[in-house]
Amino acid sequence: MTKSRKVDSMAAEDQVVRRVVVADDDYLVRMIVRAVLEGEGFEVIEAGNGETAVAENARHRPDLVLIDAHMPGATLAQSLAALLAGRDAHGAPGIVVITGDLTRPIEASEPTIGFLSKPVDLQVLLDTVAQYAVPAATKSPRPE
Amino acid sequence: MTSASGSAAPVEPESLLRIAGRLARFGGWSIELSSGIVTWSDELAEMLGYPRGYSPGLEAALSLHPPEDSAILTEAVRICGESGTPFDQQRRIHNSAGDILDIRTMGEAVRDGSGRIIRIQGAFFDVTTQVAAEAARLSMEQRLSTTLDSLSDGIITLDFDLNVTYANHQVAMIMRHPRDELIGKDFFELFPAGLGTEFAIGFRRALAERTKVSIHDYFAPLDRWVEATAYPVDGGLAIYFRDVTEREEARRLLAESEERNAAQAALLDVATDAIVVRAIDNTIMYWNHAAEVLYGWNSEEVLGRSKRDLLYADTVEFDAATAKLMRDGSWSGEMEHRHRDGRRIIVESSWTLVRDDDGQPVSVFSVNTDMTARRRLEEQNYRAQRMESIGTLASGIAHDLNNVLTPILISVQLLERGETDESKRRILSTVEASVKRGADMIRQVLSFAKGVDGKRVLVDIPTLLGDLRSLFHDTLPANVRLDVKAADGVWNTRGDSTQLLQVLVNLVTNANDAMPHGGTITMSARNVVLTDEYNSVSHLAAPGRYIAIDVEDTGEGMTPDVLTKIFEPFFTTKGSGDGTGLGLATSLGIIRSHGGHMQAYSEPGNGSHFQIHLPAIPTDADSTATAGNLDDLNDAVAMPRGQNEMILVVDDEASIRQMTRQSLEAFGYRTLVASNGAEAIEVVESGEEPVDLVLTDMTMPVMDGATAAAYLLKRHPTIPIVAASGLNANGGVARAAHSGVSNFLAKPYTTSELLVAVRSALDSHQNPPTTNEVSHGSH
Repeated sequence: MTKSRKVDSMAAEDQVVRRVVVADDDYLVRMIVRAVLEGEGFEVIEAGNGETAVAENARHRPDLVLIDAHMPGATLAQSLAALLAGRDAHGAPGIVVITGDLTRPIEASEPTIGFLSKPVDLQVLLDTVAQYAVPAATKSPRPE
Repeated sequence: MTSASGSAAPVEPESLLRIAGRLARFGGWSIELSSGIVTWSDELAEMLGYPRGYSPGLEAALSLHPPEDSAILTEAVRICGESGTPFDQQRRIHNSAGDILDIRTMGEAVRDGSGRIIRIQGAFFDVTTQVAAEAARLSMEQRLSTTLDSLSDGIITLDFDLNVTYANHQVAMIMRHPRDELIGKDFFELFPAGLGTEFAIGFRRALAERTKVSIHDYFAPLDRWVEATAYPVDGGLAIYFRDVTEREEARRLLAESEERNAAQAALLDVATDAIVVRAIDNTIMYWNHAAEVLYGWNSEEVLGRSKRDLLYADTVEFDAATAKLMRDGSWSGEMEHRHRDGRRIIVESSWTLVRDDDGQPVSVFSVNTDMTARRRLEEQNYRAQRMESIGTLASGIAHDLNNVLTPILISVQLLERGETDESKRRILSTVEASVKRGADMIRQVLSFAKGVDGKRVLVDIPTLLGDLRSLFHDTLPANVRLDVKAADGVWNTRGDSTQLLQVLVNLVTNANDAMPHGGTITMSARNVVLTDEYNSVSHLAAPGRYIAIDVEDTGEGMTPDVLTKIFEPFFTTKGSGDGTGLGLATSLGIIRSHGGHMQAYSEPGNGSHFQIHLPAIPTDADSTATAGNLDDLNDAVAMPRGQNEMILVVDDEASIRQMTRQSLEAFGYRTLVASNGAEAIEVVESGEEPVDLVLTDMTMPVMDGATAAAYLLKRHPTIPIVAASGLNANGGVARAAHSGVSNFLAKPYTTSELLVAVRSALDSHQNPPTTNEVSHGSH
């Protein structure tokens, strides 16, 4: 499966909000990633565990879900299964798994899933997000 | 004696009678009944101590007898006088001196022509001597009989027809017959069951051959063991019996118990536990075969020696256990014993106090189970578990630390982006570098903890070494030289070349760090075939084909203490901040995950040597060989045999000594061993067994190999010396050469390497440089 990254969708950039769900049980990690991504013009929605991440994804239809591999509650495999099942026709949302380990978790071996190893270099983070974010075709309304 | 005066004239019959009477002490007497006159012959008068011609009256004559005798004789004389009844009495009489004589007097009546009794006349014998003799005989008989009866042994006499003529009390007892029922009976009628027995045969033989016969046998009719000796005597046989049933029983019991003891001793000898019996004063009384094996002392060498002195380095422990044993009667626990060669042995020991019949302690029975190997295994398991838990812990911490570092790193980088102030940028860049270094360390911890499952592809060793050489091309200090060499035709291995390179980089980095003043790092690769024997020495590798990669430096070296810990995680000799202590631990993990192993040798001041063995994939040239078959392996390597030469193996490590010895003996050599240089010289110079070659380790306590080799080369130039060392390329060979040894064997050596080195040293030494020594052995 090849990723469909439609250049023409960029034309609607002004109307479309770029949105990302950041799921990590570590508050400081969420905070700094939010700071970086908001600086890049993303709307950031935080989640402290896999269940919340899946729920926020369904609700907000983000371009990207950045998800930590080790969180309390739902396992990475469960969360990824739900996220992959909920992808739209364009392959949104893009998914990037981030871990404290050296190697990509076996659950995230699907080639359309990105991988980041903590501690994450700022530039690597920006590049990876840019690479994997897929503008969603239909956005749910912005939350107030 | 007037009658004797005319000696020339023929002696008258009357005179002869008198002579006979005097000599035989008899005389004559007569009593005239009418007058009561008694006439004594001269011999009678003399016999009683009266003058010749003395004739007492009847009354007086009769009163010479003691009263009871007198009364009887008076009556006899009266009856004879009245009715003519003769008498013959044995009586007593007093002589003139008052002594009592035993006499026999016989009287008969003399009648006149009309038949009237006018006189009694008779003979008188002095029988004192005969009576005394008879009394003596009776008394003797009585005494003999009593004596024979009182004997605990039976005595029986048989006549020539085997009728019983005498049996003492014991015979009656043994034969369970009253004595009088025995006398006169045929012995074998009394005991028909005895017919045909050894006894019957023996008795007849004694009778027939007139010879002494002894029989010792079980006598079934009586259910007794009997010992009988038959002596031929005048009237037939005298047989001496003894009931030896009890003795026989005791002997049988003794034999049985001896048999049992022998069986028990044999059992004790096949026991795998060392069994030692010591007396209360600690001297060793028994030492089984397993004890010989466990402690290295033969039974004859230790009997009578003190167990306390022999086996215990720590006598406090022994004394405490002994005190408890004396109090409780038994003791058990773990102890440390000493092998003959000084090695420590851990045993599970169980002591029992043995007491005599009076309850006095006499000895201590102890059973010792060798726990050394088990303890070592437990220690290894413990260490492995510790490593594993350290891994788990480290992994958890590393994971969390990465979470901690993430906001720091991104924050710093964010701040750096917008920062124009150069000094602030520098500060932020320092923070960023620190965070990244921390992240690197965490990465190392994680890669150690996670284990390494990298790629498994064919790795070409020369290429790997080439990559290493170019990596270090520009980075090593000018005074450090790196020699890298792969032998021709070196095999491939299968694995992850990045990881293997990481291991080699780590080793070279460490070597460089160990040489602050410069030096040489040598890296070489070659093919080796490991056999079973080698496996036992190294405790690590399975038999098979390997590529050996040696990395040696000429640096500071390590103490044995440090050497034992270098593969432990977080152990580092480097200053804090310079190393994580994970380099070698990770390297070992990588090598093990490749199915190989890694060992280290080092001497302070002489450098270090790391040896890696990686399983080999034979190259095309020898692809026909299968790595799994040990017979093929043995065929693939040279195993030159010995010709009964005597090799002295010198090494302070007992396991190496033992394995080397076994390998040499398996291939036709005889061996002697020594655990240091001083001992080696002693063995050579004792001359008990001429030594054909000395194989010595270079590093040993008391006297090292180099010193011993130098001495032996000077004093015994005919004996070739092979120096063995874990430090080959640099320290070992150099020191061996320095001490004059030209034959060198790199440790750890395989059986093949050992045999080749020994054979070539022996062969090249056939013509010794000097001839003032007696040539040893047969080549």
